[in-house]
Amino acid sequence: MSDAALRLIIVVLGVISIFLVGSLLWFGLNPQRDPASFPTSTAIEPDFSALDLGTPLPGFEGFGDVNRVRSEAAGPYVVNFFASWCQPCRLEHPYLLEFGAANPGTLIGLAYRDDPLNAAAYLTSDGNPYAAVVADLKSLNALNFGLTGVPETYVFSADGDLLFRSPGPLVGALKTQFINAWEAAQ
Amino acid sequence: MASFYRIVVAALVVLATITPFLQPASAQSVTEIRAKALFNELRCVVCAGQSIAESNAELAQDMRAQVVVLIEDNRSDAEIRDWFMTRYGDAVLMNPPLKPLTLALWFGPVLIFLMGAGITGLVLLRGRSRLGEGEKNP
Repeated sequence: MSDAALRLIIVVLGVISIFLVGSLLWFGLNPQRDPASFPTSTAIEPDFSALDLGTPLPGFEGFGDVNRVRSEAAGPYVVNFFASWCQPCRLEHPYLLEFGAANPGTLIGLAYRDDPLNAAAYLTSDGNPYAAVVADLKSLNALNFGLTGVPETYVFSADGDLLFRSPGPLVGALKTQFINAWEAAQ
Repeated sequence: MASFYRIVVAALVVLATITPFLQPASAQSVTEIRAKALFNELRCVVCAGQSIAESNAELAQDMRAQVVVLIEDNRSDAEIRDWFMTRYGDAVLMNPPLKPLTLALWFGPVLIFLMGAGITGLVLLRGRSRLGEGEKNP
Protein backbone atom coordinates (compact mmCIF):
# COMPACT_ATOMS: atom_id res chain seq x y z
CA MET A 1 0.00 0.00 0.00
CA SER A 2 1.34 3.40 -0.84
CA ASP A 3 2.38 5.75 1.90
CA ALA A 4 -0.19 8.38 0.88
CA ALA A 5 -3.08 5.86 1.01
CA LEU A 6 -2.03 4.62 4.47
CA ARG A 7 -1.74 8.16 5.67
CA LEU A 8 -5.25 8.96 4.40
CA ILE A 9 -6.74 5.90 6.15
CA ILE A 10 -5.01 6.84 9.43
CA VAL A 11 -6.32 10.40 9.26
CA VAL A 12 -9.87 9.29 8.42
CA LEU A 13 -9.94 6.68 11.21
CA GLY A 14 -8.49 9.22 13.63
CA VAL A 15 -11.14 11.79 12.80
CA ILE A 16 -13.94 9.19 13.20
CA SER A 17 -12.51 8.10 16.60
CA ILE A 18 -12.30 11.66 17.84
CA PHE A 19 -15.89 12.23 16.69
CA LEU A 20 -17.12 9.04 18.47
CA VAL A 21 -15.37 9.84 21.76
CA GLY A 22 -16.50 13.46 21.48
CA SER A 23 -20.15 12.48 21.00
CA LEU A 24 -19.93 10.09 24.00
CA LEU A 25 -18.61 12.94 26.15
CA TRP A 26 -21.18 15.36 24.70
CA PHE A 27 -24.06 13.15 25.89
CA GLY A 28 -22.35 11.72 28.97
CA LEU A 29 -21.24 15.04 30.48
CA ASN A 30 -24.45 16.95 29.74
CA PRO A 31 -25.17 18.82 33.01
CA GLN A 32 -28.91 18.40 32.41
CA ARG A 33 -28.55 14.64 32.60
CA ASP A 34 -28.70 12.94 36.00
CA PRO A 35 -27.24 9.44 35.67
CA ALA A 36 -28.79 8.44 39.00
CA SER A 37 -32.31 9.32 37.91
CA PHE A 38 -34.51 6.34 37.18
CA PRO A 39 -36.49 6.22 33.94
CA THR A 40 -39.93 7.63 34.65
CA SER A 41 -41.43 6.79 31.31
CA THR A 42 -44.75 5.02 30.94
CA ALA A 43 -42.97 2.00 29.43
CA ILE A 44 -43.80 -0.02 32.54
CA GLU A 45 -46.96 -2.04 33.13
CA PRO A 46 -48.29 -1.59 36.68
CA ASP A 47 -50.14 -4.54 38.11
CA PHE A 48 -53.38 -3.92 40.04
CA SER A 49 -53.63 -7.47 41.42
CA ALA A 50 -52.69 -6.49 44.99
CA LEU A 51 -54.87 -3.39 45.18
CA ASP A 52 -57.48 -5.10 47.39
CA LEU A 53 -54.76 -6.30 49.83
CA GLY A 54 -54.39 -2.85 51.37
CA THR A 55 -55.18 -2.29 55.03
CA PRO A 56 -58.02 0.20 55.74
CA LEU A 57 -56.99 3.23 57.80
CA PRO A 58 -58.65 3.55 61.23
CA GLY A 59 -61.50 6.06 60.90
CA PHE A 60 -61.34 5.85 57.10
CA GLU A 61 -62.79 2.34 56.73
CA GLY A 62 -65.49 3.73 54.43
CA PHE A 63 -62.70 4.63 51.99
CA GLY A 64 -61.13 1.16 52.13
CA ASP A 65 -62.53 -0.33 48.90
CA VAL A 66 -59.91 0.85 46.43
CA ASN A 67 -61.15 -1.29 43.55
CA ARG A 68 -64.60 0.34 43.77
CA VAL A 69 -63.08 3.60 42.52
CA ARG A 70 -61.51 1.80 39.57
CA SER A 71 -64.78 0.18 38.59
CA GLU A 72 -67.00 3.20 39.26
CA ALA A 73 -64.73 5.77 37.62
CA ALA A 74 -66.15 5.72 34.12
CA GLY A 75 -63.17 7.70 32.89
CA PRO A 76 -59.51 7.94 33.86
CA TYR A 77 -58.33 7.72 37.46
CA VAL A 78 -55.26 8.56 39.50
CA VAL A 79 -53.20 6.51 41.96
CA ASN A 80 -51.12 8.49 44.48
CA PHE A 81 -48.57 6.98 46.87
CA PHE A 82 -47.97 9.02 50.02
CA ALA A 83 -46.83 8.69 53.64
CA SER A 84 -47.34 10.69 56.80
CA TRP A 85 -43.54 10.75 57.34
CA CYS A 86 -42.94 12.11 53.82
CA GLN A 87 -42.14 15.82 53.68
CA PRO A 88 -42.40 16.32 49.88
CA CYS A 89 -45.92 14.80 50.12
CA ARG A 90 -46.93 17.86 52.16
CA LEU A 91 -45.86 20.07 49.26
CA GLU A 92 -48.36 18.51 46.89
CA HIS A 93 -51.08 17.93 49.49
CA PRO A 94 -52.91 21.26 48.94
CA TYR A 95 -53.04 20.52 45.20
CA LEU A 96 -54.29 16.96 45.83
CA LEU A 97 -57.11 18.39 47.98
CA GLU A 98 -57.99 20.75 45.15
CA PHE A 99 -57.83 17.94 42.57
CA GLY A 100 -59.89 15.54 44.70
CA ALA A 101 -62.61 18.15 45.18
CA ALA A 102 -62.71 19.01 41.46
CA ASN A 103 -62.64 15.34 40.33
CA PRO A 104 -64.69 13.33 42.87
CA GLY A 105 -64.36 9.55 42.78
CA THR A 106 -61.12 9.38 40.79
CA LEU A 107 -58.23 9.69 43.28
CA ILE A 108 -56.85 6.53 44.95
CA GLY A 109 -54.41 6.93 47.85
CA LEU A 110 -51.92 4.29 48.98
CA ALA A 111 -49.92 4.88 52.16
CA TYR A 112 -46.37 3.58 51.65
CA ARG A 113 -44.40 2.13 54.58
CA ASP A 114 -46.66 3.93 56.99
CA ASP A 115 -48.48 2.92 60.17
CA PRO A 116 -52.23 3.04 59.34
CA LEU A 117 -52.74 5.05 62.55
CA ASN A 118 -50.19 7.70 61.48
CA ALA A 119 -51.61 7.84 57.94
CA ALA A 120 -55.12 8.31 59.36
CA ALA A 121 -53.91 11.07 61.71
CA TYR A 122 -52.21 12.82 58.77
CA LEU A 123 -55.41 12.75 56.67
CA THR A 124 -57.48 13.93 59.66
CA SER A 125 -55.25 16.93 60.37
CA ASP A 126 -54.33 17.93 56.78
CA GLY A 127 -57.52 16.82 55.00
CA ASN A 128 -58.38 13.75 52.93
CA PRO A 129 -58.20 14.26 49.15
CA TYR A 130 -58.83 10.57 48.35
CA ALA A 131 -61.96 8.82 47.13
CA ALA A 132 -60.41 5.61 48.43
CA VAL A 133 -57.36 5.13 50.60
CA VAL A 134 -55.56 2.16 52.22
CA ALA A 135 -52.16 1.43 53.73
CA ASP A 136 -49.88 -0.68 51.50
CA LEU A 137 -48.41 -2.55 54.48
CA LYS A 138 -46.34 -5.21 52.68
CA SER A 139 -45.26 -2.78 49.91
CA LEU A 140 -46.77 -5.20 47.40
CA ASN A 141 -48.60 -2.42 45.56
CA ALA A 142 -45.46 -0.29 45.65
CA LEU A 143 -43.48 -3.02 43.85
CA ASN A 144 -46.38 -3.77 41.51
CA PHE A 145 -46.45 -0.13 40.43
CA GLY A 146 -42.67 0.16 40.07
CA LEU A 147 -42.56 2.71 42.90
CA THR A 148 -39.15 4.16 43.76
CA GLY A 149 -40.20 6.57 46.52
CA VAL A 150 -42.99 8.79 47.79
CA PRO A 151 -44.77 10.80 46.59
CA GLU A 152 -45.40 9.23 43.21
CA THR A 153 -48.52 9.70 41.11
CA TYR A 154 -49.89 7.59 38.24
CA VAL A 155 -52.57 8.65 35.75
CA PHE A 156 -54.51 5.78 34.18
CA SER A 157 -56.95 5.74 31.28
CA ALA A 158 -60.38 4.19 31.82
CA ASP A 159 -58.91 0.98 30.31
CA GLY A 160 -56.14 0.90 32.90
CA ASP A 161 -53.30 2.02 30.60
CA LEU A 162 -50.60 4.10 32.29
CA LEU A 163 -50.68 7.56 30.70
CA PHE A 164 -48.38 9.54 32.98
CA ARG A 165 -46.15 8.90 35.93
CA SER A 166 -44.91 11.64 38.22
CA PRO A 167 -41.70 10.59 40.00
CA GLY A 168 -42.05 13.36 42.58
CA PRO A 169 -44.44 15.83 44.18
CA LEU A 170 -47.01 17.50 41.92
CA VAL A 171 -45.49 20.97 42.03
CA GLY A 172 -43.92 23.06 39.29
CA ALA A 173 -43.21 21.27 36.00
CA LEU A 174 -44.51 17.90 37.21
CA LYS A 175 -47.81 19.50 38.22
CA THR A 176 -48.15 21.07 34.75
CA GLN A 177 -47.38 17.74 33.08
CA PHE A 178 -49.86 15.98 35.36
CA ILE A 179 -52.63 18.48 34.53
CA ASN A 180 -51.90 18.12 30.80
CA ALA A 181 -51.98 14.31 31.01
CA TRP A 182 -55.22 14.38 33.02
CA GLU A 183 -56.92 16.74 30.59
CA ALA A 184 -55.70 14.77 27.57
CA ALA A 185 -57.12 11.61 29.16
CA GLN A 186 -60.67 12.99 29.41
CA MET B 1 -12.76 -61.54 57.56
CA ALA B 2 -9.91 -59.16 58.30
CA SER B 3 -10.17 -57.71 54.80
CA PHE B 4 -13.89 -57.10 55.38
CA TYR B 5 -13.14 -55.01 58.50
CA ARG B 6 -10.50 -53.17 56.53
CA ILE B 7 -13.05 -52.22 53.88
CA VAL B 8 -15.53 -51.08 56.54
CA VAL B 9 -12.91 -48.96 58.31
CA ALA B 10 -11.72 -47.49 55.02
CA ALA B 11 -15.31 -46.62 54.06
CA LEU B 12 -15.87 -44.95 57.45
CA VAL B 13 -12.67 -42.94 57.13
CA VAL B 14 -13.67 -41.77 53.63
CA LEU B 15 -17.18 -40.90 54.87
CA ALA B 16 -15.82 -38.96 57.86
CA THR B 17 -13.49 -37.04 55.55
CA ILE B 18 -16.06 -35.96 52.99
CA THR B 19 -18.98 -35.30 55.36
CA PRO B 20 -17.82 -31.78 56.41
CA PHE B 21 -17.54 -30.85 52.75
CA LEU B 22 -21.03 -32.13 51.99
CA GLN B 23 -22.69 -30.19 54.79
CA PRO B 24 -22.39 -26.56 53.59
CA ALA B 25 -24.03 -27.43 50.28
CA SER B 26 -26.96 -29.21 51.87
CA ALA B 27 -27.41 -26.51 54.55
CA GLN B 28 -28.35 -23.98 51.83
CA SER B 29 -31.74 -24.63 50.31
CA VAL B 30 -32.28 -24.31 46.58
CA THR B 31 -34.45 -21.26 47.29
CA GLU B 32 -31.60 -19.57 49.14
CA ILE B 33 -29.07 -20.25 46.36
CA ARG B 34 -31.43 -19.00 43.65
CA ALA B 35 -32.46 -15.96 45.71
CA LYS B 36 -28.82 -14.97 46.32
CA ALA B 37 -28.04 -15.20 42.60
CA LEU B 38 -31.09 -13.08 41.74
CA PHE B 39 -30.25 -10.52 44.45
CA ASN B 40 -27.00 -9.87 42.59
CA GLU B 41 -28.76 -9.49 39.24
CA LEU B 42 -31.39 -6.96 40.34
CA ARG B 43 -30.59 -3.30 40.83
CA CYS B 44 -31.72 -1.36 43.88
CA VAL B 45 -33.57 1.32 41.96
CA VAL B 46 -33.05 4.09 44.51
CA CYS B 47 -29.36 3.41 45.13
CA ALA B 48 -26.40 4.47 42.97
CA GLY B 49 -25.17 1.37 41.16
CA GLN B 50 -25.88 -1.16 43.90
CA SER B 51 -27.63 -4.48 43.56
CA ILE B 52 -30.36 -5.39 46.04
CA ALA B 53 -27.85 -7.85 47.56
CA GLU B 54 -25.56 -4.94 48.48
CA SER B 55 -28.13 -2.39 49.59
CA ASN B 56 -30.15 -2.28 52.76
CA ALA B 57 -32.48 0.47 51.56
CA GLU B 58 -36.12 -0.16 52.45
CA LEU B 59 -36.96 -0.66 48.78
CA ALA B 60 -34.17 -3.22 48.43
CA GLN B 61 -35.55 -5.08 51.46
CA ASP B 62 -38.99 -5.14 49.82
CA MET B 63 -37.51 -6.33 46.53
CA ARG B 64 -35.55 -9.13 48.23
CA ALA B 65 -38.68 -10.28 50.05
CA GLN B 66 -40.59 -10.26 46.77
CA VAL B 67 -37.88 -12.35 45.04
CA VAL B 68 -38.27 -15.02 47.74
CA VAL B 69 -42.08 -14.90 47.45
CA LEU B 70 -41.83 -15.38 43.67
CA ILE B 71 -39.34 -18.29 44.02
CA GLU B 72 -41.67 -19.98 46.50
CA ASP B 73 -44.45 -19.41 43.95
CA ASN B 74 -42.44 -21.71 41.61
CA ARG B 75 -41.50 -18.97 39.12
CA SER B 76 -38.39 -19.49 37.02
CA ASP B 77 -35.45 -17.06 37.22
CA ALA B 78 -36.39 -15.63 33.81
CA GLU B 79 -39.99 -15.08 34.96
CA ILE B 80 -38.78 -13.30 38.10
CA ARG B 81 -36.52 -11.00 36.06
CA ASP B 82 -39.50 -10.29 33.78
CA TRP B 83 -41.69 -9.57 36.80
CA PHE B 84 -39.37 -6.75 37.84
CA MET B 85 -38.70 -5.56 34.27
CA THR B 86 -42.39 -4.96 33.46
CA ARG B 87 -42.70 -2.90 36.65
CA TYR B 88 -39.35 -1.07 36.80
CA GLY B 89 -38.10 -1.22 33.19
CA ASP B 90 -34.83 -2.62 31.81
CA ALA B 91 -32.72 -0.58 34.22
CA VAL B 92 -33.72 -2.87 37.11
CA LEU B 93 -31.27 -5.46 35.73
CA MET B 94 -27.60 -5.00 36.63
CA ASN B 95 -26.76 -6.29 33.12
CA PRO B 96 -28.87 -4.34 30.62
CA PRO B 97 -30.57 -6.61 28.07
CA LEU B 98 -29.15 -6.79 24.55
CA LYS B 99 -31.48 -4.99 22.13
CA PRO B 100 -31.14 -2.34 19.37
CA LEU B 101 -31.19 0.53 21.86
CA THR B 102 -28.36 -0.96 23.95
CA LEU B 103 -26.14 -2.15 21.08
CA ALA B 104 -23.81 0.86 21.50
CA LEU B 105 -23.56 0.12 25.22
CA TRP B 106 -22.51 -3.49 24.65
CA PHE B 107 -20.32 -3.15 21.56
CA GLY B 108 -19.24 0.52 21.62
CA PRO B 109 -16.13 -0.10 23.76
CA VAL B 110 -15.09 -3.03 21.54
CA LEU B 111 -15.56 -0.85 18.45
CA ILE B 112 -13.48 1.98 19.92
CA PHE B 113 -10.75 -0.52 20.90
CA LEU B 114 -10.69 -2.02 17.40
CA MET B 115 -10.40 1.44 15.83
CA GLY B 116 -7.53 2.32 18.17
CA ALA B 117 -5.80 -0.97 17.40
CA GLY B 118 -6.35 -0.37 13.68
CA ILE B 119 -4.84 3.11 13.82
CA THR B 120 -1.87 1.87 15.85
CA GLY B 121 -1.33 -0.97 13.38
CA LEU B 122 -1.48 1.36 10.39
CA VAL B 123 0.94 3.84 11.96
CA LEU B 124 3.39 1.02 12.67
CA LEU B 125 2.94 -0.33 9.13
CA ARG B 126 3.61 3.12 7.73
CA GLY B 127 6.75 3.48 9.83
CA ARG B 128 8.00 0.09 8.68
CA SER B 129 7.39 0.83 4.97
CA ARG B 130 9.26 4.12 5.39
CA LEU B 131 12.09 2.26 7.06
CA GLY B 132 12.12 -0.14 4.10
CA GLU B 133 12.30 2.78 1.67
CA GLY B 134 15.11 4.29 3.73
CA GLU B 135 17.14 1.09 3.40
CA LYS B 136 16.60 1.03 -0.34
CA ASN B 137 17.66 4.65 -0.78
CA PRO B 138 20.39 5.44 1.75
